[in-house]
Amino acid sequence: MNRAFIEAVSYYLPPRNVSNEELAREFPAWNPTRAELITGIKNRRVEAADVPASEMAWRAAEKIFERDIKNIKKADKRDVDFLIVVTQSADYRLPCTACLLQAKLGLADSTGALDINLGCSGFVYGLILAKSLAASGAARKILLVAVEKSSFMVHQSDVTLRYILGDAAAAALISSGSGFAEIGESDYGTDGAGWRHILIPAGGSAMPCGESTKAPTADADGNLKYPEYERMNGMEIFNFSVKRGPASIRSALEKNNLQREQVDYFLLHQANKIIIDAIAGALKINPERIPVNISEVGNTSSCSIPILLSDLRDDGKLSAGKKLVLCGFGVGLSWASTALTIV
Amino acid sequence: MTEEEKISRIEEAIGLETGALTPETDLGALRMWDSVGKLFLLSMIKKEFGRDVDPSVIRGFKTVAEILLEMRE
Repeated sequence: MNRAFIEAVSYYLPPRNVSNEELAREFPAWNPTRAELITGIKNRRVEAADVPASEMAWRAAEKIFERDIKNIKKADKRDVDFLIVVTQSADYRLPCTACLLQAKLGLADSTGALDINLGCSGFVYGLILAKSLAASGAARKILLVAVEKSSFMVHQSDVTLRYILGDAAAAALISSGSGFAEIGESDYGTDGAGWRHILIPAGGSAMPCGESTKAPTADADGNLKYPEYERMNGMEIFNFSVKRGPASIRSALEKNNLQREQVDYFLLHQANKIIIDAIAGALKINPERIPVNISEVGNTSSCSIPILLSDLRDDGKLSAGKKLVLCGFGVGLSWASTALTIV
Repeated sequence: MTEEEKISRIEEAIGLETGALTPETDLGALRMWDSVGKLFLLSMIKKEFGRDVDPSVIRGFKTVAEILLEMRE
């Protein structure tokens, strides 16, 4: 009973691609070559302004329930008894996006539904909670959906964040019965003292939106940022990621009785190239065991890890016995790691 | 690593031509000394010297000589 598996995984990317060249035309003073050296990003997807996060989530989740090439249903909606949505770009301040998605997917009204307000660590946190629900017997099948419409949270004048972040949604079905990957033991943690380092200052009860939140203010580096939109302190996030990421992975390895050499793939949150390289260097991991997709989709927040997982599966790289370690880190500041064994 | 080599690493990190910097160079006068340049420098010091530098220290650098002090081996 105390086991949990990922039964299916899928994702949705908006059709519109925005290349570095397109951004450079909009911001002639911006140097895309220099930015690419740090991040490794060449393209990102941007969702249409009139498509809300719940619609993106629905498009990713529906793929879980489509019929496969042999016309066999991959999974049945009637079996889902819990829905977890990870997002920071909810359709509304209330209700939570999971409630909207439950109705949109046509899930039974006996389905539990809640949001997790986390970013880059959110998918792994979702797996941890889904495993707990499945392993305890509280739920048999849990649909975990990550969705981030970052383009909605970033001011159009902020080329740095528009460059880094991409829109996406991803879904995974977690089951107590069977699946292609068994979820192992986890490590997680929070450093709430760093809450300012990735932040939308205005719009909550601490700073309601008003006239004073319309004007830009200077961030720690002297760049003008709008209080109603996201801001990020790059250097603080670099230091946080290269400290907490490797430590969390080491802890997850220990909890799963794994040596680094036994792990086939490390699925790291795709923050940017220099952070991924720094974590790989700290752990002395061969880059071949760290799949990277940031070049084409950018930093997709909570979606980056399930997108990597889905691509590895579709590429036939997840044969039985393979071991994976997943590690997400970001806003909060928050981090989480877990292990998967392909069955 | 000699001082010349260290200056060369700083030039490379923040995206300047070789020979652009001296220890006396005023960082505030450089267009490349922006948040991206500072992040590049932070990651270079971490990679080359294994040292975690507090971002407030990086933001406080006024001259190349101050960066060189942080690159001591």
